[in-house]
Amino acid sequence: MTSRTLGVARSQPAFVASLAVLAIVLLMAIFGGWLAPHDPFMLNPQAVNQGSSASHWLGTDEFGRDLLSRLLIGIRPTLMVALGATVIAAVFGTFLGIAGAYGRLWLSFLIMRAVDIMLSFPPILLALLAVGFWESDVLSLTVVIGVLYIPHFARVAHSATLQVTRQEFMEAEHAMGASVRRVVFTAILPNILSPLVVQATLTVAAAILLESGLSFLGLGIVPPEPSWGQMIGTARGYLGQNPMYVIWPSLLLALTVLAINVVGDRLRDILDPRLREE
Amino acid sequence: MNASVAGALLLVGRKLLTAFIQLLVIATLIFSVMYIMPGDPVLLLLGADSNPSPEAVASMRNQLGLDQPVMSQYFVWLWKALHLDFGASLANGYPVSRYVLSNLPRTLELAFAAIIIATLIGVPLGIAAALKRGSLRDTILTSVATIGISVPVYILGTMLVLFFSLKLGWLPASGYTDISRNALEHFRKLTLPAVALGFGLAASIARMTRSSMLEILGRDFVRALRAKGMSERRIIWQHVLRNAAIPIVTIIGLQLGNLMGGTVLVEAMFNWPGLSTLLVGAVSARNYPLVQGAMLAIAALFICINLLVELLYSLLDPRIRRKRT
Amino acid sequence: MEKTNKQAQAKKGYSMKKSVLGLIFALASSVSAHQALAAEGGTLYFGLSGEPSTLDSTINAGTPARTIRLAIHRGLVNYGADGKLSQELARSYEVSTDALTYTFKLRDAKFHDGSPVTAQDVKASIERITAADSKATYRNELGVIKAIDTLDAKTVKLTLSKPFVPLIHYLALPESAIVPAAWIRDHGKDPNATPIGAGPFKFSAWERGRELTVEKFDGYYKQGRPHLDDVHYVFYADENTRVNALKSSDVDIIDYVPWKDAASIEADSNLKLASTTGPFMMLQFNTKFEPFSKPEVRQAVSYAIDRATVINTAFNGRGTPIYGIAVPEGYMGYSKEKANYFSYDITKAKALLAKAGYPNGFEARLLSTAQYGFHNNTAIAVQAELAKIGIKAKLDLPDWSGRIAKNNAGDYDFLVAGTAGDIADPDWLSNFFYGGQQLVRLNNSAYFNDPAINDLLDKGRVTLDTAERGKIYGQFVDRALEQSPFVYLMWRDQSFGLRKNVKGFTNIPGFLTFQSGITVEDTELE
Repeated sequence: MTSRTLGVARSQPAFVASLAVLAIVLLMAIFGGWLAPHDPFMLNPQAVNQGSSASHWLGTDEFGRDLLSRLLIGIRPTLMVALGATVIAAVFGTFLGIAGAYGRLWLSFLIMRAVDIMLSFPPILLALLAVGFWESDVLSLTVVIGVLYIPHFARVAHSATLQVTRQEFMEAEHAMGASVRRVVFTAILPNILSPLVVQATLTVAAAILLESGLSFLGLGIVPPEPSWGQMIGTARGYLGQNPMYVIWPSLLLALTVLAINVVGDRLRDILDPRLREE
Repeated sequence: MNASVAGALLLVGRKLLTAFIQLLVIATLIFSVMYIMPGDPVLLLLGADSNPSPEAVASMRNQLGLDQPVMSQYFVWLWKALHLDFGASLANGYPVSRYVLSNLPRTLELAFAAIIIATLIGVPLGIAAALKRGSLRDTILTSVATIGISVPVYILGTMLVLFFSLKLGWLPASGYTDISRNALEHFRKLTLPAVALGFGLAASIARMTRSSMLEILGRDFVRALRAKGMSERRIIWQHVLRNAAIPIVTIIGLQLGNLMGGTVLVEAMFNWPGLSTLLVGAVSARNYPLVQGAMLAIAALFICINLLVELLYSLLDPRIRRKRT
Repeated sequence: MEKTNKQAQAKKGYSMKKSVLGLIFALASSVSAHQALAAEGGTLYFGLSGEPSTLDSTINAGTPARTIRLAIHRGLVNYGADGKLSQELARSYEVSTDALTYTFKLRDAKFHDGSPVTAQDVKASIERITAADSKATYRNELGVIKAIDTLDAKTVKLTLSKPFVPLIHYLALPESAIVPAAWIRDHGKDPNATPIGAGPFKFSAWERGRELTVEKFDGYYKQGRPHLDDVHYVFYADENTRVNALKSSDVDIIDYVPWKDAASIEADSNLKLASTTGPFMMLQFNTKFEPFSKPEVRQAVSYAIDRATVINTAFNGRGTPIYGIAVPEGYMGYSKEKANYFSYDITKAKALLAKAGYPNGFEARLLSTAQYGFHNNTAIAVQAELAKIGIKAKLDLPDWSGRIAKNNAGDYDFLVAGTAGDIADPDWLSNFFYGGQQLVRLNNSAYFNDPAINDLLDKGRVTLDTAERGKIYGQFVDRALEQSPFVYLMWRDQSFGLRKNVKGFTNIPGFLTFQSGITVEDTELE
């Protein structure tokens, strides 16, 4: 077992490193509050916009708050929004996609046209409108972003289901008089799982970027709660005084998204039978 | 041949009908969202730092027709929109269509510039990576591309401004100059936003190019050609590239469509007066007709470009053409 | 050694190139220098913090709109670069001893369409503001004018229904500009009409969403003014973009320099900062919200906030604390001994809260806006300070439009406001403290209506004797401190950033900083 793991590590260094990054990010999200060396909300007007020092390893922000502590707790809302949104999008999107492919004609028409309409908008614009009239706390951000990515899932699930339903064993299921629920859960879902998993990794990465873009526009997580995107948006204004302020959250954000993308790529390779052959 | 033309026309007709319904739904959606949103255009119009009297507010509301029931406002707007009259800005009565038409070409220009940059970088990189699959070169190029996708556009934009405008002083940090007034200045101001947008796109185009190249390279006909002893160079340039071009062109087209609203952060950062800037300004002033107009323009552009891409795709790919007809 | 040599060479090459370029530029500029001597001129690019929603001269649509209108329009009087009233279209004016009639003698000035400025135009302009269906911002204030008589083409007499000492100050506001009577008749209701005024620049073009251009008016009544050929007002809503535009020479002046960037502008050898103190930051309370309905609680808030925290975090140290009432030094009502009434004292704050019945504090919504960094950051600083006495502030940060709507609807427990008085007369206080008919409005603490304060403000407005008036506003300040409907935080520095070659532009001190746009008539490019 261990030697096999080592083998994977040697042949897939990027993949293993990415998994490690994601594990660390996850640990930060769970335990970040305890790891924080300072109170992340504590203002210190005497130590505004400072660089690295012994007491503040990564320096301080415009309120004199410890950047390391804020980075540590800033991942949690970001990740909660991204994962929550992905779950919402995956559950509803998959359901709609299967219904669109497997359901009655009128239902299918309705669903797929709705999906088309939703897709004819760049997510950030819809989010811009939607967050404008809700209080942008973690929950509403999660719901808004989740809803925005439903059509993406629906489309993937739809085309995957269409492929599955054309295969022979489906006809066998029908011939045996299986119930719709049974067909969906035992025959369709397991067979369309792999494109959905890949879509999920893409969605997590996209949702993180979307949340950070919204925060950048001042429509994300409500301060004083930090999120990485919001920190970057604020830090942009302090480039002159404290250049490292923008570097840290940018680096972490880019690294996390990068790791998710690498894992997603690898998953696609593993799950896609055509690529596996080679 | 005639049948296929008729088929294409039928397809276009059906798509246009769908597009119309899409726009209708979108308009309704935006209309309701704007009216639920807190905020009041009249208060902003009557003074930034003053206490407008209730009478003044009421008379302004009446003058703008905002005192009508929401449903009747909606149907009045819709009726006019169906006659291509998209109303006037609440702030000054200036026609929405003129706002949109003056900003629309600028967004298109920015998007095209970004796409050209992205294609020029992305496609060669993708080909280079695909030809040496699994090599160090492939790993490096793929990693760079993944990083490119992972860096938010506003971080990249900030870095570009910091370096090329403030440090080196080579390019303006922001703004827009009409091409008729000063062409050089126009393109100088276009450069940074286009590069900021183009870089991330280049990364995803490179990845797409790589994977479609790989897919074609794995097909049987390539093996057959190799078996026949055709030179690798000829196989790549004459056969693989031609086949891989279809999905690549499709991706580029779809990216272009996404850019219609996807420029919002870049337009804001660089003060580029395009559709997104118009939209964001209109939202913050609660200038309802202007929001509607800008949103519809963005959606319409998106739908049109996707339609064109689909059309192009079906014309290019013989298999699809056969299936449709 | 070798490296330094190379560097030197590289430098030399660079300077060679530079000197060649320099030669070309020198040739070019010597040509333009000749021109400059002949006819000054030049184009000024002015980066504004926003695009005006309207150029309607009777509506105060914010500082960018005022800046532009002060280039196009003039009133009978205006505030000049020194912050004092200056006679503009009025050559002189007289006030009757009972303060009920004002007689203005007009100078020989022309409007941009070439027609002379007459008493008829003054009458039409003021009547447009006071008309029953007018939406003018200062309709109530000017509403005291009962009759306007044109004694001859160049003399106009205003008769008031009751004495109103601050009238001349309200006439000096950009919203009291004089426009041609004919223009009002033909275009008064058309928000898109080309504005016509008697100011130093005429309206030239408005490219929506981008910039507004004005050009020199040759018939301006001041000799040798303006200096510039034209001014481009370019709109930069994003503050970072605006600063970058100045630093990279895209524009020559910017307004509303973000506090965090002030130091870097001062440090830049090509730039300078024109700074003044004038606007203030304060907290405004919904006095129907249970704990904030008690004056002790509002006083406790005032004692609990260390002003230095707000200034150092939200304003990068660029501001002056206010521990009393925001009356600028030199303005009527200012008193040195009451300036530190609420000096920072946590113990006192806690005691007051306990006395009011909230020993453990309470929760409240603090309204501010995410759209402007300094509003946002002030709210964060206040939130952290109040946490020390157990008041848990939950931030509500909609965009500016949403904030204004909530403010005007009284939909807040307390809010962060940043503003200034409109005029240099103490009657500016009425806008903030007076109760009266409309108890929920932008600038008052919702539902605050104190008869004693209303009374004093009423009296101050009609009292002619300066010493007597001073006494009234002294009493007002005592009562206002006791009631504390507002908690004042600080005077914030308000700055313009300029390129070094811009001369003659003045940031007018005090409240009038927002009317500094008038000095574009004195501005030159070197």
